[in-house]
Amino acid sequence: MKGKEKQNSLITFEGAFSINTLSFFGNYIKNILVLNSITKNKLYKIFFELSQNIAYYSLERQVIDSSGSVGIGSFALREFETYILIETFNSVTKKEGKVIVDYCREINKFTSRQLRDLKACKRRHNESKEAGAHIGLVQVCIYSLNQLEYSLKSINSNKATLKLACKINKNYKIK
Amino acid sequence: MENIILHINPDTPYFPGILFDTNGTCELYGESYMEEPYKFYSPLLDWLKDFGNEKKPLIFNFKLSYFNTSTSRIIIELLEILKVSKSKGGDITINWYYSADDPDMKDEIQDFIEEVGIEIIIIESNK
Repeated sequence: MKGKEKQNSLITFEGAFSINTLSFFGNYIKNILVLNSITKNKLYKIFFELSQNIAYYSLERQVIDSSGSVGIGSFALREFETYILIETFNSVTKKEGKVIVDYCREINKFTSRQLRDLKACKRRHNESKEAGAHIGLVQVCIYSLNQLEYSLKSINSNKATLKLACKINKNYKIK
Repeated sequence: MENIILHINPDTPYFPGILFDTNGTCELYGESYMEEPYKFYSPLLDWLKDFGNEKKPLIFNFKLSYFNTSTSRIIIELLEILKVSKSKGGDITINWYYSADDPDMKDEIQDFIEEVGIEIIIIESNK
């Protein structure tokens, strides 16, 4: 049996993903974590894409005021020897969860060029002015150059916990 | 038309700084990841359409260090407005400044150039 990879837990958070909370953690990533600057930039961007997905789409929500609500979930950043792992968790309906998991499975098959073309296509054809652009997960794969990790864990007959995770290598170099 | 000026507020860093000057210089800087991007950017898009009707020269400087995918859709719309102005004979120059530590930003700019079909001068900045 292989030994467990040595890891450090950098940040964990569970709660409402308000814009100010995300901004606080983004600031922490940008100014406190000690990482190669390219890696840090990638982590920063990926953090916002994944966490804003929770803010917009999580089934469990916290009412902010009369104008709306914000999604509830959790995220964790863990540091391994050669990469940082970001994991996010939020509740979804089982139906939505299956759609997202199928989408992740498809995205993971694409090359970088294909992902950029897919992003362009989605950007052009999504007429909705709602908050999310539906291309966040594609963008995460483009930034990380790694496949998305995903799982769906049943809570009850209708709901599940969606986990999305992404590795960000610590040794990116400028091409 | 009036100028639109908004300075970056450290309490709300998800709103970019804005300088839209009727003398023909526009600048968008900082970060953009607010919750309702269309609400924020609609007046700016309207301003650019109105400015385009005046057929005066315009230099647009992008100095965004980060923007989320929701903002990227609006950037496409913004660039489309500039493209229309250019096609009507307007003198439009678009500069995009990016950091060498952010090669993904250079790729994004290239994607905008391809998607919209507009020239953008890409400038590596030391900032």
